Amino acid sequence: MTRKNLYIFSLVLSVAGYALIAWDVIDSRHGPTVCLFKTVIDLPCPSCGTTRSIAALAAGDVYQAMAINPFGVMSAFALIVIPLWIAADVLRKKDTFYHSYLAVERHVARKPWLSFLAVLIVVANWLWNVSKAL
Amino acid sequence: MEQQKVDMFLMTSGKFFEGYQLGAIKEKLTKLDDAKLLQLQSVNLKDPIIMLIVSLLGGHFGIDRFVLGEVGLGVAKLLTCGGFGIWTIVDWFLIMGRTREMNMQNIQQAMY
Repeated sequence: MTRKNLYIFSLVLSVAGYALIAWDVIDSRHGPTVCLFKTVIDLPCPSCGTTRSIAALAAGDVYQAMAINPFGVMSAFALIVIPLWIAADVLRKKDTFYHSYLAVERHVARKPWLSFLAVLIVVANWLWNVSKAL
Repeated sequence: MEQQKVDMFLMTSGKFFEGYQLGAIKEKLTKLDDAKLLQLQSVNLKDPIIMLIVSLLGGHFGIDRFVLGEVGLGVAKLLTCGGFGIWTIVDWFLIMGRTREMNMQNIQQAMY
């Protein structure tokens, strides 16, 4: 992936994320269900509850945010850091975000146990989501 | 490399690449040393059809992107519930082409 594509794609995903959170906060019915898996199978996916978690975090309730879905806290962090990082890169005409992204990808590819650990965390979170019936 | 070996390689591995890439691969292989063949055969090439099945079944969780080695996109896809459902569907149509592209990149690395 080229630098330009990565930056545009990350920004589009971030804007979509912010739009969804805004919808969830403004609309009392908690916005639309964007999860294809949940719509089709009627079971939550590992990331279901992320929007609700971020909304709770925005309201200052960190415990509730973690209880709904810990991935929400991760996503909130990414939603704050990534657009700022890209903006800083574009303004300073540098590509630190792009190089960091490539470095992390290479690092993970060299260490299969990291992928295994990530899969374990995702599956555990998924089981938790199912038990919470998000 | 002998023509027969080149043809054999293209016959067995042709499905992993785009049709228009085969000419360039053939040209490159004929100029290569015989010793490189073993190295080329050990390159981990992904089958586009298998990747399509992975994308259909696990695309929502970003598994298709993880398998291709695009960890960043895989994490993004996972955390956004398959790119809010849209990216999952888009990838059903893109993943075969992307797999062939990645295969080409991998084999190019092995050839040089």
